Amino acid sequence: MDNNNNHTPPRLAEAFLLWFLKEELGEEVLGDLEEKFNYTAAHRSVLLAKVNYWYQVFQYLRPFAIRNYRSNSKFNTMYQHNFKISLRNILRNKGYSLINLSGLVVSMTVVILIGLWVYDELSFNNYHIQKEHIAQVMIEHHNPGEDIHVGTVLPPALGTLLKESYSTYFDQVAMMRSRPEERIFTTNRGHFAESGYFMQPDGAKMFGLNMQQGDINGLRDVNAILLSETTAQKLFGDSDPLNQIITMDGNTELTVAGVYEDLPHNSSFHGASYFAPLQLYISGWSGLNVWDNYFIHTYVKLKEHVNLQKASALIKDLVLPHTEGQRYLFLNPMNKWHLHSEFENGQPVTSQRLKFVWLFGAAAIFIVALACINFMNLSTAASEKRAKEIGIRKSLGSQRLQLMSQFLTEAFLLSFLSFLTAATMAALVLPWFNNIASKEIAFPSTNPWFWLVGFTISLITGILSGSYPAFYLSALNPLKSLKGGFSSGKKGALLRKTLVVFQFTISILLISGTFVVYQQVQHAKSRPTGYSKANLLVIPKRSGEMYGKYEALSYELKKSGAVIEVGEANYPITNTLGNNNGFDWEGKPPSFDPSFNTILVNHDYGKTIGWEVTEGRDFNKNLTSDISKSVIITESTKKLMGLENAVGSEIKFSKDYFGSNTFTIVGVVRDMIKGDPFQAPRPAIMFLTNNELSYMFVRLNPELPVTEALMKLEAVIKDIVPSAPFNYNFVDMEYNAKFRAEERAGKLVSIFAVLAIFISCLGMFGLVSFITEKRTREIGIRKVLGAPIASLWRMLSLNFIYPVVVACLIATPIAYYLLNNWLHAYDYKIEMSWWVFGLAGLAAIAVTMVTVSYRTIKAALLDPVKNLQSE
Amino acid sequence: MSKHHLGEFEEIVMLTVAILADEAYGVAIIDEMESRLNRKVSIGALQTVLRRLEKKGYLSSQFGEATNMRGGKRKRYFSLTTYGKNVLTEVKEQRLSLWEAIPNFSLNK
Repeated sequence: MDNNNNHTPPRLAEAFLLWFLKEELGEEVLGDLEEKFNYTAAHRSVLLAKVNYWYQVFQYLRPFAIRNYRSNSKFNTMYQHNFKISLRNILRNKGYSLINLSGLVVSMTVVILIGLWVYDELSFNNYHIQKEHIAQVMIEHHNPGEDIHVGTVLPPALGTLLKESYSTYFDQVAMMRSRPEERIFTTNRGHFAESGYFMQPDGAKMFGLNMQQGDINGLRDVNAILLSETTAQKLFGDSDPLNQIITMDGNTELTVAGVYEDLPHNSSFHGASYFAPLQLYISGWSGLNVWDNYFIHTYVKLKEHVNLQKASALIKDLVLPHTEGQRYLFLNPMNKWHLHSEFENGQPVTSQRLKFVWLFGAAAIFIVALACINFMNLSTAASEKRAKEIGIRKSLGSQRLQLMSQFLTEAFLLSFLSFLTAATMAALVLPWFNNIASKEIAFPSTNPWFWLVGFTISLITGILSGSYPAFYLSALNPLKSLKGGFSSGKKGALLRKTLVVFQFTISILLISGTFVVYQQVQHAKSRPTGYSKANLLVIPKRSGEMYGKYEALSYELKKSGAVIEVGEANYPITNTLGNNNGFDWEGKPPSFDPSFNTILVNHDYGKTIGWEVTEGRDFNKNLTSDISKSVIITESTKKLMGLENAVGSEIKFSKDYFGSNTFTIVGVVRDMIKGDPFQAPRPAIMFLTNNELSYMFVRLNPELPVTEALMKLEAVIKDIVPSAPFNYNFVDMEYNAKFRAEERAGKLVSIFAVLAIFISCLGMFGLVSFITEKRTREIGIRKVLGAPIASLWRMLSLNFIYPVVVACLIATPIAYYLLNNWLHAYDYKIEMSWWVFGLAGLAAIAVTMVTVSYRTIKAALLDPVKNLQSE
Repeated sequence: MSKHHLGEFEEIVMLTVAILADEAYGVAIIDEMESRLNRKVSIGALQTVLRRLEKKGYLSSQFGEATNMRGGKRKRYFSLTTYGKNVLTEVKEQRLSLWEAIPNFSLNK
């Protein structure tokens, strides 16, 4: 059949076929396929013929037809050989391989976890797609006589001004209440306390909320709310939340305008259960053009071409005309929020978080180094065992590079194996790690980058641990090693000792770090707080119904027997919100204008929280002259004001927030630790009022079991304010939450310390096993000659204890320096004592002793007859 | 079963080769199977079996002439070896003896 030759089979398919097909099949198969192709092309269609050709080509991907790629090139054989010998060597020395492998697995697991953690920190806020263009307006307070303070809280008029007059620089300006607000939402499924933000409508778009339902501009309606998916699910179950009505705090009805995807844990707005209109928040008591009330965070999105520095310089003086103080603005870009937003006296400083990134990154690297050292030490120590192999290889003409590649192959094999095991381990312990580090990292098993980086790291680990042994072993003299007189030289032993010293230095550093962090946390925890936290509840009054019922509530609660005291204040006791400057007193230097923590309290507050009056008296209910006239100050306020006889002195306040302008100090109380328990107490002034205040404090009856007391309390409140949603918090729990960051750091450091000492001891164990094994005959002879076990033990062990002692000496000053630096950041801190380092060193020596002795005593106890019998 | 185990597809391929006598090469075998049995087979699958049978010694092969239709490539012709013929006959006899052993009633409807 002679048909048109215009159509040829697809060349690519043909090339592909020829690539994988056995050569001897080529002609016949191509012929068959072409015949079929031409037939189909002529009788059916060309397209069909082509498709069929491809199909047939793929059908040839069968074992019988595929070319054998095990070529005999020198290159391939070498690698196959290296691989095979490595595997055999690993399997032959099971003990050492296990030590190497477990050290590497543990350290790589740590590296993977820390790596994920560091990545999570560095990718903070990446969820917000406009991250590169978003900035927050920051404010510098230059108060005379004080350090420059950098804050974020601004008056609403500023945002309005930016929006109206600076639109050439900013695409969007969005103001937000400066902290999340907890609100009670009521639907037909019940009451729910949720915290979220009050924000201007543009914010949703600016922060790139991913709307699952509804309108991203929904907040333009003042009675609307956006809910996170989780919140929507909680409030409405499976029914459609959109356009449903929810009641906020029992008095405001809001329409659900949209549902957004939950913000991830590594977003600055993580945990925002809702976004509600800022307009709603301020309606009735403030406005968008107010300059003298600071309660707003302001965010801007810069236009494409606008330079951040320029815009920052431009807005610098905008609040100046509206304040008496010296206050300057600047812009803080979103990519700096998480790790670069700590300031000291107006200058950016390395943030605590960034320090942790460095610290943990360094710890992870050190831990890998420890495992690499194990590999180096064990393989050089074991070199004698392989001296013959090397000698033979060399005399058969192996070149140095080839030998090196043999040993490197071994190292790579181990490190890749470890990486795969470590990845599995990391995936398994990730939930536990997340718990400690308070993260929500998911294991990126499908992320190619993770595997790429992982394999790169294991490659580096392989090079780190394999290159020295490769170098060392390949240098052996073939003549000596074959004669059998080879012994690993002094140089090798010295290097091994140095590396052991390094390992234990790191371990001891971490152990002393654990001790000091623990001590510091305990120290701060046992710090006298100036009030008694046990059995103390705080109940925020969220609903209007709660007001006007104070007397009744107080009376009924006490009558129920569940409660012994009730008091009120306008701020919770576990933060230092509410600060004012503008005070004057006798003897104040004219330019000195410090700010104080100012809170309003009622008569019963002091009794309820149990403050300790050191001078003067508590507020007195029977003295009406106390109200709005008397104040109680704390000891640090007294000190700051420099008052000799504080009680009876007068202080003046420039504003009339507290009912008048002149106050008499009637008492001094011990400092109350309300804010950061590691810092100096904030000087505070307490003003008396007989108005009802927004936080109620309740001291439960310690005689009653807590659950019973709480049940009674709830019953009373339900009785008096039946429809008011309410919740309570334990003050001691809120207080303990302040230690979380330090406790977390302590936990992680202690885990690192345990791992470091574990890996170091593992290596030590390997070394000791190796050396004692080598000396079994010597030990046998010594025993026969009458050496007691104790002296044998001493002889074998001392050599290994000695590097650890050296490590102690090196580690102590370094640890002292580093920890002193760490403690420097805290006002309230321990005095480091030298015994801590002694203890850390002793601990390291003790652990080493146990490890070493286990092996040496075993060797010393061996029956000499058996040892000497052989040969 | 005896030591000569033949798979169903192997048997069909051998039978087809026998039918085609001197004209048994890849595409021809496939066409024949397609037309007689209405069975679609890819060339690759067929080749697997042909090689296997050749390895077992049931088939032999030699290159034939080249044609224009095949772009100047030669055909490989397959034929049954004596051994192959014996095996085929044996299989057939086994089948027949099985058929004969069936009592009449079990296949009557």
